Amino acid sequence: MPDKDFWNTRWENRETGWDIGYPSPGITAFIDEYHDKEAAILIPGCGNAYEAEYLVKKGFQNITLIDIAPKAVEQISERFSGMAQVKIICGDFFEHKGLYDLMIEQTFFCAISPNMRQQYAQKSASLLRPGGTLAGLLFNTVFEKEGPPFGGGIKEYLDLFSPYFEIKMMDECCNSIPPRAGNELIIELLKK
Amino acid sequence: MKQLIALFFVFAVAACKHGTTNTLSPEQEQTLLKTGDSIAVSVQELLQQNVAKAMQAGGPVYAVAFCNEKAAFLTDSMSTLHGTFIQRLSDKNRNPANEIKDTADHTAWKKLSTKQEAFVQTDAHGKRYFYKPITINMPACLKCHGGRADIQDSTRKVILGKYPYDKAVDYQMGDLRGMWKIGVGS
Repeated sequence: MPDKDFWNTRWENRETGWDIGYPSPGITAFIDEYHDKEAAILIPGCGNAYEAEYLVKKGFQNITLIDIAPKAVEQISERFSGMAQVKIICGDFFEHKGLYDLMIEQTFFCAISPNMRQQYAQKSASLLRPGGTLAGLLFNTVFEKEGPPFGGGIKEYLDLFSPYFEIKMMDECCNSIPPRAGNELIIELLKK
Repeated sequence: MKQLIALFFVFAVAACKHGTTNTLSPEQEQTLLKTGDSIAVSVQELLQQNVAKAMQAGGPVYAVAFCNEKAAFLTDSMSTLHGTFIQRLSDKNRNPANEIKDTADHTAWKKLSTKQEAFVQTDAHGKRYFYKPITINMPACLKCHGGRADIQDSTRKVILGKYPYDKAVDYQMGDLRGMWKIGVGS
């Protein structure tokens, strides 16, 4: 399992290929339809947190960002300084405690080792209120090289999340960024 | 007054030390441009010939595999042959090794994005590099670098499978795809 040092080194060396430089259109479309501005929102493995910038722009008031890499946290702390609605934590998602209405997934799930996926599903559910939402994007393809990132497919994801979530949506994303078109799923899962 | 003259002298020396292309005479610059361009052309021809062969042999899917396994090797071989540094860089890279990271490369990219014309630039260590734009100049390029209508789903899947963080799509004919960076002395 890649650890804190692994990710921090990637940030230090600017090897952040997953960073697309703007919020994913699939996620901004979801945010546009999510109207509770007071909702407690968590973005794990937030990286440069472009989605959080979008949330702020849209008037959301309670956003928590967590990333394990101190270098990433240092960068976003500067960008979000003075924004009281954004709380930034440098830490491990799997040890995080809290209760949220919405968790946004964007290239965090694919960054963790597949043998941690069961824990991810369980932990996500434990951090959400009943009826809370886990929404975001998952790769719907496999990669040739050992990850991260690690790929996957719809059947695996259904088996993984169904014990904890009602699957409101798990479909091919129709507005992926061009390189990922046709190889990404948009998910909206409701905690049981 | 003496202090002012001394200060001017210090700045003048500093300016020379950090100077870039202005430290070259026009003749020297032309020579370096010619050297850099001949290397760029030879490597580009080699790569294009090989990609064309791969396309003919097995279509875009096969060509992607060829690029993934052989392009870097061919570039490195040409680097050894010419005894100099050769690299391809892009703001929308496919291979992570081709990402623009250095400040000097960012400066060069900005310059090429404004005006697609080769030039020689000196880096902070006094090394001179030839930069030249790489453009999308053949319809075949779009089969792996074009928009959604240009790239077959099977090709896109193979590309993403080999390059999970690919950014090198959505180009049109004539677009700036990347740049050559070739060492031309110090």
